[in-house]
Amino acid sequence: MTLFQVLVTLGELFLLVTAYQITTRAEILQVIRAYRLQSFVLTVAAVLIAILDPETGGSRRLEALATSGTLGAIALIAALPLALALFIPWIQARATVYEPEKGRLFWQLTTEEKRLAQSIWLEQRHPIPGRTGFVFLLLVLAAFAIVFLGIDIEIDEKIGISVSLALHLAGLYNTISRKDILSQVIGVLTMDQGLYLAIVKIVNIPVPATLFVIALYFYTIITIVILFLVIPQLRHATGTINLDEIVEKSDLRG
Amino acid sequence: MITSISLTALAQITLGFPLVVLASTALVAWLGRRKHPVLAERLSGWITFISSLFLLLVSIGMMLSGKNVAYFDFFTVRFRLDALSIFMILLINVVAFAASWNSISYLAFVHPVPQRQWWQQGVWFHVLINLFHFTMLLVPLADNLIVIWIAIELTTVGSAFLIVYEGKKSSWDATWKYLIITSTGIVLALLGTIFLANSLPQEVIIQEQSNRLLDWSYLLSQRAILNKQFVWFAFLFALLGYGTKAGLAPMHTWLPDGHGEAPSPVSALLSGVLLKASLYAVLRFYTLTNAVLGDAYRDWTSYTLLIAGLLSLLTATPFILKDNPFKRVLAYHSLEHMGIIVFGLGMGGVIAVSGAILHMLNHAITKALMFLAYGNLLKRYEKAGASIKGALRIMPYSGSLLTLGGLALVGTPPFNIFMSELIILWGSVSRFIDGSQPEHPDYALPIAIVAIALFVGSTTLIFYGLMNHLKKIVLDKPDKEIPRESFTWSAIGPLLFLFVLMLALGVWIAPPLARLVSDSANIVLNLAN
Repeated sequence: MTLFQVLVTLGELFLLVTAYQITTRAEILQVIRAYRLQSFVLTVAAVLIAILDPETGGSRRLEALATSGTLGAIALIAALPLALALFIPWIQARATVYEPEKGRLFWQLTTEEKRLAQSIWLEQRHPIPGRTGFVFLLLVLAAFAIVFLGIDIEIDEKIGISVSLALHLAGLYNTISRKDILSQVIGVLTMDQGLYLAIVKIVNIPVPATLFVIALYFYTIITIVILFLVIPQLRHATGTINLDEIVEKSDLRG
Repeated sequence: MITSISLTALAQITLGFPLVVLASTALVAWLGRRKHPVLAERLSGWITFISSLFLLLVSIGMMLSGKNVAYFDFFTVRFRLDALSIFMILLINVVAFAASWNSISYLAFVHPVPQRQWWQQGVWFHVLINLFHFTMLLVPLADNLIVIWIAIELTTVGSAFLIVYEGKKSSWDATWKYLIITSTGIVLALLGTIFLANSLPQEVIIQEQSNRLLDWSYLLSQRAILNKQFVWFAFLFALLGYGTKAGLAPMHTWLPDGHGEAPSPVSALLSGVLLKASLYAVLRFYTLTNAVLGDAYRDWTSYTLLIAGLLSLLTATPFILKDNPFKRVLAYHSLEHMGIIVFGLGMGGVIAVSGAILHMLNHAITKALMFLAYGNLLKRYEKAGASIKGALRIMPYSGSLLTLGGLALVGTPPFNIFMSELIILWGSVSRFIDGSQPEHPDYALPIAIVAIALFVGSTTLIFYGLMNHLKKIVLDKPDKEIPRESFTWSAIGPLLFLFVLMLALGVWIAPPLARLVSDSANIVLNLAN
């Protein structure tokens, strides 16, 4: 492995560290912070993977990148986690304090609104079961076992795909096990990060990779619908972000 | 006979026309939203109804063309028709026509709620219906597996706004569940598609350098050189991912909430079409996986489907027996019937697979009838503030069609569901008693016997469960006097249309449709080439 490949691999493995933080942190603010860090790391990893030359294991020359068409695709891929890293605290705070009567889709949160959001987040601090770290470890091991035992490819590709699969499993676990809707949606977004990574790994196929990137952008529409519309409306309709309370108040049974 | 060129033209119309309709209704809604909302709503309703009739005729034209394959490129993306995609387009357009017809009367009953969001205004309802219809049509038209994924993912956007159309608290709850669960699934489906992209050798990728690399037809032609391990993983993830959207157990939990809370014409589309569109994507992966892995591994893919089918069937049974709200019961019925379809696919063989494909259409027609008929009941009884009882007396048209639809849904002859369930069972049994079939491994017969026993047991219990629910709705004494239903074309017309199809398909399968079903089965089993 070249130094460049080692850097990429370290970046990928660091994504697992942030996924661990997301899974084991009890406070919503800490979960959001860990997710932001993960998004920044993914942005850097995506750029590094894009400029990695598969032939030599070193970095590609800029003109080679431009002619292969990967530069545009990678810029588009990197833009997504970067945008989420920058805006996720504001989006989540907005979802927590949004009132439909105000009728504003976008607005600058006042200091009071930010404080209110953070106090609601603190109220929703649910203790994380002791087994959570162990479950996370099991999921990561399962992902690595599936890829290392099941697919015959180069070692750096194996690591990348294993990390991607582990992010999917960890995200899924968070989506299922979390007690508030904000952390639950962070679980879905963690799965997205796994997708980004998997797509970056095949970005050396310029044309279909572009189509995959377009698919990711379309997927973002759903994320926006969830974050901007459904969470605020659901919280407004039920008066809480706590899933147990939402289920308790729900008429949807049987 | 329509030539193959005409089939290409019909495919282009099926892609382009809904876009024009979508734009037209959006324009009408935009222009009329403030000053003439009622006029704009009616106008966009009629545009939707007439265009869906036109699209239905186009898909019948496709079926009658006698040709099976046509393709065209739009920018760099290939669109392709084969028997299976024509069958799906027909299925989508039959239900979309009935739903758009019925939604004219549905909107007349919905009372304005203060502080509604823009998408909950009547003028936008048809725009969303057209968006939903277009994205569902895109699924069978696309050859490229990423475009299929995009189309299925986009169905979520349109349908989510429609589920929450009535703006109740429980609708938000249902939409939340729907979005979270299906988004989780769809991510896994894209991961499966990425695995499929990785299955191509690097030299082929470098040589081809186009979007065609992920065209289903191209991948099938390259089956000999695809990496088997990646393809197997791709199938598993696609089954999990698209299976979530298809409502297969254990990822079905969004289904009763989503179907239960949506307006009835939308429930008809969700249950009748959306589930099948997602299953269509699974079928494409299934065919490809079997072609790549070869006969030695065919049992694995088949048993995976068989388990998924039986699990769905068994999961649905207790919920149908329980005293649940009727729309939720119908949603669990969708789970049951998706289980039956996947069971038929898992049993394999041309007969059982043909039965499963025919069952997709039969279930779509019958379930649409049930949702639309029950929707008519719901509107009238809710308005009167009464619980739904004695529907046969108070609503003779909708009530009797609901009863007949219910009888059909549980597999009573001479209706369509009976026919396709019988074909599936016959196909399952005949694989083992027909000497012309290849030798089966020793474990195949006991597995088949257990599977068929579970199938028959579950469907019998479900028969009892649904009849119990229907008895209360149609025969029990009503709480209070409600004015009798009078015949209106927009409310009863679509039910009659679906009833005629339901009855006709129970006694006779027209030769062009039979050919389409049989050709589709050959495609699924990779016997077409």
